[in-house]
Amino acid sequence: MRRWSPSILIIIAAVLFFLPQNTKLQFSSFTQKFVLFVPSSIKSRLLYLRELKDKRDELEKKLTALNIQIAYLRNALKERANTPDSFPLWEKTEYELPSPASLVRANIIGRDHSLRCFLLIDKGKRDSVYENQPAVVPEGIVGKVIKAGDHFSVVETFHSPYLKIATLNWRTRYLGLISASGKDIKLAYIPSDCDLKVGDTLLTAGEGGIFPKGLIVGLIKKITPTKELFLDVDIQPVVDLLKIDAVYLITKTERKEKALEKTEMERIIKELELKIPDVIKIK
Amino acid sequence: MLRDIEKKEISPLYLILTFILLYLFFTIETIFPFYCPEFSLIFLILSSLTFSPLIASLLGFFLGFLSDHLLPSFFGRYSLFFTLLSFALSSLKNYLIPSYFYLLLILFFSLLLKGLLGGFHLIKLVLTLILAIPFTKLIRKITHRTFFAP
Repeated sequence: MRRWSPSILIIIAAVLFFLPQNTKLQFSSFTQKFVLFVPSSIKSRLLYLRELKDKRDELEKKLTALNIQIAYLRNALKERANTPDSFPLWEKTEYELPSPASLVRANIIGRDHSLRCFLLIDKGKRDSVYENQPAVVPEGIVGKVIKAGDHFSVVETFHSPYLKIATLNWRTRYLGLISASGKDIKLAYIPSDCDLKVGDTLLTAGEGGIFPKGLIVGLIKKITPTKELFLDVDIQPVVDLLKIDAVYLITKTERKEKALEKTEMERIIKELELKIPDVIKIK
Repeated sequence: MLRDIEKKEISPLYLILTFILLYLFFTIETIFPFYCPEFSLIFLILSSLTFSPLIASLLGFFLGFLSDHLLPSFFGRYSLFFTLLSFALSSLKNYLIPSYFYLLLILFFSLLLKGLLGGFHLIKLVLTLILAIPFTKLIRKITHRTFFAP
């Protein structure tokens, strides 16, 4: 019997093979439930997880857009409060509000040796990423794209000593310039008589045409009076760059308009230069 | 060496484990159908070269029966193919030299035959051949009872 057993199996397999099509389908539909139960349930679970990840990404994108919108509106309200009653309000509150569709999510796939100054992201020119595009996360600003390849780009963060961001004190509207020196982030060019408090929120000023106005950059951590002309102000950034694994880039459609505006502004200044030489000082 | 293994009583627990492993490899291949190497086929070949024709045929039939459910309109073709393959390998194992070259050769021809039945997938074929030897070494480490066992 033992010698014949393999042959019996072969015969069973052959019978299965030569069964009529309908019988095969009936038989397999009954056994399929048991045989494919584990693979199909694991597969459906994996698909569900992928779907969840997509939803999470989408929600995070929405959250980022909403946070930016809140920052804009908060800034707008602040400006509105400072506006004289006779001044038309809508002129002061006309802000560019990015929608979730205008954001591109990019995963961080590499960092420089300090892990904070430069981030390599997995999106490039083919995904509407371009140089000088602002990179944000739901909490606040991260930096800007300094080099965009076809599939990858490099983001320079606020920890880079080469990146300067014009900021605005939300409480007092004082302008300043954020720059990194070593591991610290400093607020430069703040006169010693300036009204600053520890805990003041700093927003992007919108000057320079790269970063939109009103994005949160950080809080004032420490103010040290110096013998020099300016104060030594330490900043606590709101974004911990070691905790993020993706950034959102504000896409080209809106930025294109900005670029056009910038070109127009440059043209006007050039025209003015011919008439009033002093305008060069303003620029 | 092989005859010694055949003479020894194979514990039912070991046999159950072999079936579970086969089902596990089948599950992995079903979840990732295009980029997963054919671990179940390598495992079946190794088992056929280790066990008696009866157990080898049983394993072959089991794997074939599982694989047939993926395309029920041709039900039975894999059962027949794998049963025949494992039976043939198990019966001819004494005439084979236990070397990785032979293993790859057997695997290559098995993949060709299987491809004729169910279609070729080049990435799967290449991946299977590349990963055959590391996989065999791993199985050898786990089970200590393969064709290449000392």
